Amino acid sequence: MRASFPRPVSRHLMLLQNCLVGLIILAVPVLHWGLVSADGRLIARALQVSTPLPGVTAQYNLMVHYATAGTLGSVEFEFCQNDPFIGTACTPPPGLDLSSGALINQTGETGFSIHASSTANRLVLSRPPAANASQVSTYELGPVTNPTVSGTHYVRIRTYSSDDASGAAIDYGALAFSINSNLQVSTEVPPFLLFCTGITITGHDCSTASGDMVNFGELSRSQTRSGTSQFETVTNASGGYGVTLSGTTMTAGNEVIPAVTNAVAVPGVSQFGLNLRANTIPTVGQDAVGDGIGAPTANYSQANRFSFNSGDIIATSTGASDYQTFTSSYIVNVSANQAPGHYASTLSYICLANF
Amino acid sequence: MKTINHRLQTAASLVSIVVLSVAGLTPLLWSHRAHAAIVDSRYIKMSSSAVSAAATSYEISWKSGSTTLFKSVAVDFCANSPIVGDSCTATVGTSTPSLGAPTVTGSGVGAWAASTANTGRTLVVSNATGITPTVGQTHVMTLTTATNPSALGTFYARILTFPSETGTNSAANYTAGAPGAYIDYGGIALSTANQLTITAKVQESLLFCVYATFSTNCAGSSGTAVTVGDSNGILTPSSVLTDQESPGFGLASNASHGVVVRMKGSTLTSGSNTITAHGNTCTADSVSTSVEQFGLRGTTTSPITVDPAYACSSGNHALDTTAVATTYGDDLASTTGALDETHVPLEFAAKSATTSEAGIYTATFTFIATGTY
Repeated sequence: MRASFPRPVSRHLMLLQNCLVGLIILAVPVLHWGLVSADGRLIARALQVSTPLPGVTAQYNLMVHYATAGTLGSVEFEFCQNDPFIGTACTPPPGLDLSSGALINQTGETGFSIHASSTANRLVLSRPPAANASQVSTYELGPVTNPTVSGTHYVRIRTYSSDDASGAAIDYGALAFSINSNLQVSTEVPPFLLFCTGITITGHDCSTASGDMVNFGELSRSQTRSGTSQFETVTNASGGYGVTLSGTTMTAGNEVIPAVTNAVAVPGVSQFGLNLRANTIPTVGQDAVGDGIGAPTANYSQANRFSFNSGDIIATSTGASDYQTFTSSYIVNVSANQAPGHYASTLSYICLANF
Repeated sequence: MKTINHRLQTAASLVSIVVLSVAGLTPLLWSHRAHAAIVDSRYIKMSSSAVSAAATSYEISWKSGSTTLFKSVAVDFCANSPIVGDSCTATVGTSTPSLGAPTVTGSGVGAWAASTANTGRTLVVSNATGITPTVGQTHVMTLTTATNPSALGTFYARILTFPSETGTNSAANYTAGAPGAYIDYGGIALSTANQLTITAKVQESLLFCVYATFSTNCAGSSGTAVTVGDSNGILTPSSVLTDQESPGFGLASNASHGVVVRMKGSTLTSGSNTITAHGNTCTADSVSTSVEQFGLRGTTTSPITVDPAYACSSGNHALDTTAVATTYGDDLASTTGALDETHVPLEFAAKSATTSEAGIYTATFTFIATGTY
């Protein structure tokens, strides 16, 4: 058998041909919490504040979800302005003061009280060391004073088996909370008064007010003459309004038809008056219509009784009043002795609102 | 001249003799490596380079240098040298890997039986049928039971293929000093190495801003005064009017369990007078002159979800005056997890009635963001 010859490879070349296998593996980045010899991170943690306004008194509700079941004696909450990293220097939030707060409520792992080592920015809750479960717990504290600086602040949390936050921490974690300003919403409701008169007003709409003359026709000794006009009121005056009626009774030169006060209509007796009611003797007028709270005053509020006295306030409201239509019901009677003539009167309605 | 020629002739004869001798001897020196060739493109890929790493996978690969049938393969781990034929020093587990109870997977020889030899230093795989390779054919097998050496640094492996499954000229009989009649061979260097630990800090974050006028982001947004009404800030009984600005809030956080935004406040108040709030559900804006209203609504902006009580459609608003007066306020919006800076627009709206008392009305709203990490 002929021997075969190998490839002419020198020892040196073999070494060169060797492949060097060596791997440098980059470890998975881990979160480093400083010098903490703790087993686990808190499953969840949060701080609910009753108000985020800087420098004001507030209530704090701290929530932690313990990760490690074991022996729990104390929980430390360290408030810092700079960062949440346990084990690094902590800058207390300016103005924060936890020292005046009391433990208002606690749920989950309970039996805690505030340890004497607590300070303005470090709250230590303490209890006799006892077994704890991995569960959600809350601790409500107040009143406390918020930091005076707006922005983000942090709380570093550690749990201990000791009752004074000494020794190695069991669970750890941190949270961020915000101190911020509020919004001021403003608007204005201006003083409002709507008042109009007319012979008729339709649908509480002053733009429909029409007519300015009540014509009684030929006066009679045997029958009461009557007529109507209307006025509309609406206002937001908190002090309400008053409608004043000014003018004269019906006159013809020096001849006067006397005004009456709270009198019934009597044919054959010279009378002039009005009210703001629905009447049956005579049949004239209607009661006020609308959602307003206004009402006729005493001398003008009785059906079938009529009055006129210039300057009288004939209708009022005690406060703001919605749309309301009043109907003035006029009556005129004349006696046999009433001098003939063209009798007339000009009446002015004035509404005054008290804001 | 004759003497020189004679000497040259003698020298030439001597050279010839030497060459012939070498030629005659060389076959004897190499006769036990019948058809042997260096395997090409050989490597052992480690799944970990950490010292003492257990359950480490070694992917062993080479390309055949010859076409000779082989039925077994030896992979000999040595601390001193990769050279086939050199002595092999090894302290299994310390200077060389511990192979455990080996199993190999892979292509070609991957399904072959595996065992160890030389006190656990050498991996032996074998098969009764074997493989007749082509030159350059790739063979791969993966050992999954290796534990890296506890020593830091370089170690070696020697790959040899054999014509027999068992017995003489098989991998099972291989020793460093007497490797047997192997076919293909090659050496590899491997190394354990220090691991690098990279650390980084990612702190809990919460960015929360409340503003009257929005502009691009929290940094650009500003103001705390919101005016509701017409251009003069005056309400009318005939219709609801909204705010003159662009109020809202911005939020960003890495709270893995999300953020809740709560709201505290009241309805519009002027002394002892108030504007009636819309109520605790979205209510249509009224056109009745007898109705006064005040409320707000927010627009859901993913991933921030406005609470249904305030996620009113246009023309509707709400305000739960009872809930916003509680200690921690009424839920306004929330997220289910972390979020980049996102802004939620708010719309305040109000209407007076004809009987709404005159005055300047104000309401203060406080917004509280609570992140759960």
